[in-house]
Amino acid sequence: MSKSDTEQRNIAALKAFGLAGDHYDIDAMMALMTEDCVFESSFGPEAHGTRYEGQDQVRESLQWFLDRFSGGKWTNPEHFVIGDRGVAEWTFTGTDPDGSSVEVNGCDVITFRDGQIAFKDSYRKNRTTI
Amino acid sequence: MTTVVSDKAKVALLERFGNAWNDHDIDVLMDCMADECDFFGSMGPHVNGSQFLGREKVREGYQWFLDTFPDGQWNDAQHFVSGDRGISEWRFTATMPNGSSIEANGCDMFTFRDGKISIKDSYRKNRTTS
Repeated sequence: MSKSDTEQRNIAALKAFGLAGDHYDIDAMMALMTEDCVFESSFGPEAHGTRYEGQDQVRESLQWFLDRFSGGKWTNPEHFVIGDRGVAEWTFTGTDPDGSSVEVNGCDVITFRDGQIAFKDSYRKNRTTI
Repeated sequence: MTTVVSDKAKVALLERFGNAWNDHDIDVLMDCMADECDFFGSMGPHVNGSQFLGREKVREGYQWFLDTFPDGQWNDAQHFVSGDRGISEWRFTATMPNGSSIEANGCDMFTFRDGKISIKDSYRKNRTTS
């Protein structure tokens, strides 16, 4: 497969993953990730945030996020891919369970394998109160 | 006139830029920036963190960062470029002003113009205490 074919396949997977998130479709999200996928969240006790390994742990952590911010939206998405690496950027808006509203930019830094997401490394701006 | 610059040359630019952060060399940092440039820091009151708009403010923001973290290092950097977008990933280590140490993964989302950096949009893991 040529580099451009690989990149087209990867960017299609990245966009499909974003759409699946918009629809809160956890099955579609997980179908785009490898069996041994890894997700490192934007916050947590470690230098890499919090690490989740494998379909079961990653599914559970993403479901937790979807449940916590029901009604949350990822707007202004932008994507770019370089070989088997890729980036998705967005603005996340949602309501926290405590009723406060959240609006913050974030990004996923992705590693692909065979057209699927093998590693999703997430970041959000650390938005301080004004 | 728009200057055509290869992705390889832009990766070299990001390597030079990253080394300048580790050397705490403000002049080299600014030499890597376009005449019209912005810097969005990972933490701050705005949806995109903190905002430093224009070359003068960017320089002030970078200098503040270098002064605040005099032993700050961006370790194990990796760089990827696709056209006018690029990314650097790194692990930031530093002594905080209060004497505690920090270690957190992070990344810069770059936009290029005419072979220089026009936007540096930074993220860091929001490391919680365990």
